[in-house]
Amino acid sequence: MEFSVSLEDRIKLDTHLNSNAKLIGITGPSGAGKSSLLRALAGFERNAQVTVNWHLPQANISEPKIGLVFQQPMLFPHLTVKGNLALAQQYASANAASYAQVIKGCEITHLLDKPIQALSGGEGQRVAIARALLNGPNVLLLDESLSALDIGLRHRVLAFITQLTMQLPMKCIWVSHDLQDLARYSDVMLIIEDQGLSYAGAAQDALYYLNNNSSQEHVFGVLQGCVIFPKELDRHSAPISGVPPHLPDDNNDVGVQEGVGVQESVGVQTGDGTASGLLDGYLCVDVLGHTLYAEAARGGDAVVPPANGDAIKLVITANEVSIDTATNTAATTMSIVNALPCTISEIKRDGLMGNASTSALVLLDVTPKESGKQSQILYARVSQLSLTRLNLRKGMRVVARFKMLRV
Amino acid sequence: MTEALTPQAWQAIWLTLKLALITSLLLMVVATPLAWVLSNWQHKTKPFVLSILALPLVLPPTVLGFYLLVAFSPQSTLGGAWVSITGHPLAFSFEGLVLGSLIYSLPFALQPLYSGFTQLDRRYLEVAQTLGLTSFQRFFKVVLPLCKAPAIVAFGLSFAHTVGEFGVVLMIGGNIPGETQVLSIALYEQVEALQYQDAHALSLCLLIFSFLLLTGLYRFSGKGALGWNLASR
Repeated sequence: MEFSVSLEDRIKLDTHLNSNAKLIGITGPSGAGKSSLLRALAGFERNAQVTVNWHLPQANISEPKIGLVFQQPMLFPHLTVKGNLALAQQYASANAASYAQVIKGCEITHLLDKPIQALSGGEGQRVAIARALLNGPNVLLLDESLSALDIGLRHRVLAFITQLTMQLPMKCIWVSHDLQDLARYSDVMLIIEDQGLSYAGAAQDALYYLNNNSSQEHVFGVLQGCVIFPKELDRHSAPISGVPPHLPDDNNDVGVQEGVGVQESVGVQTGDGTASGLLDGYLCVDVLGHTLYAEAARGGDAVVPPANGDAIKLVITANEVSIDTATNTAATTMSIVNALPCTISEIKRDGLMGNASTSALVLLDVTPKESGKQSQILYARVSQLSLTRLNLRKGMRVVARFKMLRV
Repeated sequence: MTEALTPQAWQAIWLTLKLALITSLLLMVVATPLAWVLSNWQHKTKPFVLSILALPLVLPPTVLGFYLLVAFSPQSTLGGAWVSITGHPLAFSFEGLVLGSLIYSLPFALQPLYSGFTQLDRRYLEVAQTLGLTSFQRFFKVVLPLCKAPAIVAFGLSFAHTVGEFGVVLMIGGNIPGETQVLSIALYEQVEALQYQDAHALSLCLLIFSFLLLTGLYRFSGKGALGWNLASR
């Protein structure tokens, strides 16, 4: 997917992204040009020079429909919630999700008969997103459109949008300041600073860039894995085959079909009612051949619970990770359930938190169980004391331990 | 009450209301698209155009009336064309009064609409555009419903202003009962004829009417839709 946007004094960028990316996250400081970029992509800026190739999964879409949701919901105040949705439906493309699904997914069933003036900020934002979705956009632009939602609701709506991007020929470009949200729900990320692009690429690499280039207080890593079938768990064997945790290669045209194939296989498995990745409310996730345990957050009614083989991202903050120099991952004497063998790739003694003398940030390369897989990065914040006591140094093989995560 | 006003005064009242209603209805048809076009138009000649349209606000009505009288004469292009189409001259006719009132009250319809349109958050239109509404659909389904308040104010003001018209009517309409004799002219005639009791009754009617209309408009518009200067005349 390529786009090049140029709008005098406000934004200038030219980028090439993985065409299979469905969710494109954008972040950057206020006033950097994020909104201008979305406005230009939506066609609102007459002076902007915009060239885009969306690479939509369906080739027959000659003129993609682009929806934009602002931070302010901009619902038409002369109509009710229902009226706003009906207007969007009246001009909808064939690409729209069903009314029932959208109402449920955005959790606005109880708001339908309300006048716009009676909605709170978060309610308005959800209705605005529902209105955009019912219109059936091929490209949905969200300009901080979830900023007024509490964290649980935000995750449910984001999970719902993610699910729609799988079902429909729809991509979503979204601007947010919440890096954990972005890391979890974006396939690729753009970082915009000073009216230009300072980074474009895979979400986890964007994180690496941000962790290194800004004074981020809460450094976190993102592990990509896939949900595995509980039966596989008992045997401690490799995950089910065929599910790439990474996006298919851009140059590989079968990538899209591969994605469809995954969905189909999931459908078949859920059919017999036993294929859910949930085990007593816990989720087993395969990351590079290692099994991790997570607590499944309750999704919205419209969100399909994670199933066997679903790609999943785990966000782990540096403060959650402790380092064990005993490299036996199967240790069962402690309550911390997750263990990943890693190699220390870097130790930042001066840290990023300001209190340089007491803590250090350790970058860990997760060692894949099978060779040939690309390693993933994890961050651990340890005290200067531990650093000295354990004599941690670059290249050392250690085990990263962390408690059960919530996903 | 009926006895307090002469039959001629009643005739003048009905004629005035008819004139005001026709004028303000026509003005809404003319001024709404005009105000919309102006609010979206950016050009260095814009102040020039806006000045021309606002001229009736500041010009003495007699000046406007004089130019209209000249334009309405059968020797002029407009007046001549009117005679050849309808068979009677435009000056000193009810149609002439309507045309004169349209020009005279245009700024009063234009101003509230123009400021309503310019104050409308453009993002409503951008949302409507992304939803797939054409510019016509955006205007009728979004702009007009959102600008209902300024539209009603525009209608009310042009109606009230036409009721209060005097100088222009005097110049182009004269004083023909049932045809061009409006309230203000009838009142003027009563004072000239020293019929002070009749003049009192008519003045009071006009005063109460104007007061009620404005109260209604202010109550309706509530927060500042009449923010511009009403007392320009």
